[in-house]
Amino acid sequence: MRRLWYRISPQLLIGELLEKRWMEPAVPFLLMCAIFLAFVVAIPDYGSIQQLQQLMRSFPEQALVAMAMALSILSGGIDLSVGAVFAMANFIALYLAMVLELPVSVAFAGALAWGALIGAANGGLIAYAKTRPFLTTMVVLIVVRAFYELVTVAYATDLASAYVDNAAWDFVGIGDLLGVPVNMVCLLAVAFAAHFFLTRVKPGVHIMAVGSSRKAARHAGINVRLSLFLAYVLSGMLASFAGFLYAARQNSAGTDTGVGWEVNALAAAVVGGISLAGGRGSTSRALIGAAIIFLLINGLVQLGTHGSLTTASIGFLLLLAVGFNVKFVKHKSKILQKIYVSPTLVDFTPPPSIARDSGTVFAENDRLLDVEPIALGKIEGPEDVILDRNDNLYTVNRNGSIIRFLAPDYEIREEFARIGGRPLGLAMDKDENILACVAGMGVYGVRPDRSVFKVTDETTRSRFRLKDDSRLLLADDLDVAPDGRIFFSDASTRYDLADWALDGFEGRGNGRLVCHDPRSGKTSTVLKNLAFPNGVCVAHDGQSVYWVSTWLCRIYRYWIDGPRKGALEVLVDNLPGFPDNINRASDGTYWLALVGLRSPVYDLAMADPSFRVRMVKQIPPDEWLCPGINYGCVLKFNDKGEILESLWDPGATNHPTITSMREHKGYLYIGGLENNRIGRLPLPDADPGWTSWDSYYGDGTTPAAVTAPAPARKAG
Amino acid sequence: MSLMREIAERIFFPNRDPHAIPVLDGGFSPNGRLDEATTFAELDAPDALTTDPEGAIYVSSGNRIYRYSTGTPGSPTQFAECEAPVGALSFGNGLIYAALAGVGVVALDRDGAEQARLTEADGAPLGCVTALATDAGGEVFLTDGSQTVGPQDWLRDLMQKHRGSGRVIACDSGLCQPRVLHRGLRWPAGVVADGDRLLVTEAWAHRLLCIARDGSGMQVLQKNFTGYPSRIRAASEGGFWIAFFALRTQLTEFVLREDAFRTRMMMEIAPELWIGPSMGDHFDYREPTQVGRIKKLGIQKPWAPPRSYGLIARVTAEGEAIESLHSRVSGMTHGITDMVERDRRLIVLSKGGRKLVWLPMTPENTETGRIPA
Repeated sequence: MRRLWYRISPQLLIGELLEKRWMEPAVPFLLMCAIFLAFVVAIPDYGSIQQLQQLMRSFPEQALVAMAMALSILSGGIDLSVGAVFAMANFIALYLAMVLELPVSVAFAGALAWGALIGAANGGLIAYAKTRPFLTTMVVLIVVRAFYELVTVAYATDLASAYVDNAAWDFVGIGDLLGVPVNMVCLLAVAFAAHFFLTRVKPGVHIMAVGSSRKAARHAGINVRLSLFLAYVLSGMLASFAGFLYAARQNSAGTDTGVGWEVNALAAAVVGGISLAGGRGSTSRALIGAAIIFLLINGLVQLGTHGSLTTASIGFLLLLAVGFNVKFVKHKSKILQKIYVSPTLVDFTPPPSIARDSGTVFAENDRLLDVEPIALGKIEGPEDVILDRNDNLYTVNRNGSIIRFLAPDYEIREEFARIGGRPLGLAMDKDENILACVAGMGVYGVRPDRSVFKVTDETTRSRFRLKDDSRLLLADDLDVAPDGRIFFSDASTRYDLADWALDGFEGRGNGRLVCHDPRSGKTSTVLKNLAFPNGVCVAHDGQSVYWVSTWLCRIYRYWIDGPRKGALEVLVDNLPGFPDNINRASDGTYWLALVGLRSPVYDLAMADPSFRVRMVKQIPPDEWLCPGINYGCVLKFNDKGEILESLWDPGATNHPTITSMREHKGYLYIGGLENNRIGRLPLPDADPGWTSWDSYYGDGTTPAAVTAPAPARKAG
Repeated sequence: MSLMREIAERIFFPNRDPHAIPVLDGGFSPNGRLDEATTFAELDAPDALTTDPEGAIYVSSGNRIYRYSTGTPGSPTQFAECEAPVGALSFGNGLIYAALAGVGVVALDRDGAEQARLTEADGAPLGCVTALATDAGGEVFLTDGSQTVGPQDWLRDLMQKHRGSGRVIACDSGLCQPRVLHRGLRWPAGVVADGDRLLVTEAWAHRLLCIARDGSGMQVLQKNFTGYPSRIRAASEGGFWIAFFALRTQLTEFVLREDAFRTRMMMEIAPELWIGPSMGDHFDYREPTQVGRIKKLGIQKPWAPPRSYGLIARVTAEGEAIESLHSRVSGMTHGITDMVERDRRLIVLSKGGRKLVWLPMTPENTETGRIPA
């Protein structure tokens, strides 16, 4: 029960939810629901169909005006003229349709043209004449309002007496589509379009960028003036569209039409959580904000509250909501930080002893004491090493490059290729391309002519998971199957390489084993929910893949071919350390690096998730208990899962982290994630002609002329 | 639950930082002086030092006490061999007083022959004498760390979080008439006489106390040290030297709050692998690692969270640090338990490094005082 609780941790869900951009308006959304429910309880029949239809019919115009306001705010300014533009558009639509008796489409076009005209005036002044948005639009508000009052008085009798029986006009005003009022349908369509525009279409994205940072947008080559101009034109058009809908619904142009709507729209935008500084917000937030204001006013009026009291309570609620929202947005990342790490229960049994006199195969010894250093001080973090058929040594560097050390003495260092990211595990394909797992990027390859190519950077997204895990976050180690398929591990979908210790600390199955098939170009996830899969190596017979779960201290065997294809088994359990890369050995067995050794206290902490939760909350990251990777060793195992021997660097002064080893022509080359050197150890019993490439792609015969590389000079 | 408590604490005590361990700053600013010191001697299990007026240096190591007659490096003579591990040493009244683990205190004459012995005070045995001091008047003062464990089990005592059972005791030069001056301390680990008062360090409470010699009262001089203070000695340049045998870490303090985890840890795991301070005298592949301690490019960062550390500080009579000598996390002179002055040189005992080092009392040049690059 406890185990299950920690496995499906609700904390995990909340953590991933909070990470989502669309969670930002969570507070306004909940407020909206709360207000609606409150009125459902307080007002009889509030939730009835007729009532809902009535609400939906009255809402769209206000929502569109709020969206117009939101758009201008998102562009980094403000548009106070939306209320006046709305009122004037209302009049124009009425005049065109009722007095001149023109078709509805002309009335529609006229209203929109009016909005675009005023928007262009606003935008032209603000973007090109560089006037202040607040003052400019306020002046436009006053002018347009005054104009509106003049014309409504002048045409009052014309409008009042005009009556046209126009079916299209009435359909827009009071029609339904499947029970939903037409203007509501219009609103939804516009909202979707606006959302799409602002997030997916270039000019819209440019508006958001300009709102976020005008300077950065300019540096990015965005036409800032044009974007601003466009924002105000669109804002004007949204407001005038609202006016058109209002005209069709109300058929009247009163003196108070649109009065104070800019204030409501502004309130809606702020309550919805649109930042007045610009650039942060969305259409949905404007809608949520507008709905809150609308529901409040409407509900309080229905309750028969006194007008001034309505205003006061709205103001009070607004203050509360805005204050809370500001805090929530500000602290959201902190909450996330506090709850993101979600440790799970891992029950270890005590591992075999590593003590020197214990007599186990894991007993500490001195076999790596005399490892000869290569590239001492010339390499930073050679997580993996590989040698080509000409004995040149390739390794990864923490700055994102593949470094080559030339045979025979490995004194000459050259940057073979620069990929970027943090290259980790290496493999070589049949064409002698070097394939590298690159943390933060995916799987990349380097051809012998040094050109870099992408193998894959994404896999199938897992269903039923909030977090988009299609991108490869921490590709760790890979190998190539006889049919060319590339199997690799994506060690964690929740943490990047810098936070590997956190992933270990969590102990959760965050990783996956992925397969890329170069024939079809497709990448797919083979196994998922693995605890830091690593050390991928195709077995000598090519029928299965060995991989390790670093945090669970296990070696697994996954069958990729033959009669047992698709089967998964645990080959070795309860290793005394944290396993890393696996590579083939010349005698038909496999080398395995233990990157760290298990500490009894760490095992105990893994069995106590709540202890780890509190640790994460109470002490700073540098002080957290983590898997000890300062000491490690090299193991050898065979296909039966027997550990054959271990090689130790006593005290780990030379090779603190051992993450990989590669056998080549009678020598073992040792790499480490945080080391400053590569180690080279002669293997007296090994086949002096064996190379990894021949083992994978050779014809099975040992090359006739074998020359072991001359011993490298001792460094220092 | 803990969240509610945390919230309540934040509301009612907004200015209280619940787990503040002071950073090493001011007089405690890090340097590499202990690592730059030259080795004086290497020993199996050194614990305490003392000097006599002729300048000879006595070192306790295991069951033996060694004597460096000239007070300079060289081969020592064995001064005495005792029946139990020897801890604290002090010279006074022409005698060497030595603490024996599980036994008490013995007084040895200049030939190493036992003259007197004290094994209990106020009806309770003196199994865990941690420090000794004498004064000009011939009185002998001693601290008894705990009633429950011996001095070698100091870590267990810290982790068990007992109510303090340590005592400060005074007796005459012949180790008779013991008087308990103060009781209920959490591992008092150092004592020195200063006029009519005693300065006592209380390790698990990380503070420096001042206790009246007539037992009439106790006053806290300095609290919340970054490390666990142990032996304290008068400095010739004024003030007092305090040895800190380890530093507190946030992880240790956290584990000290986690009762269930700590109990399981103590039950199931060998003490040298516990989360907690260490003298640095033990290497084990399986010791707990903290994120900041992971070696980068083969280098242990000196500012990593310290499992063991080397630190002595000279403090004023009020406990304010004047200067300090460090062996940082990457250093090798850890677990300082004692120090003596001789001829303007300071001889420091590193229990973790199993050695004595010595160095001039003032840095020879300005470079030495700096943090090594």
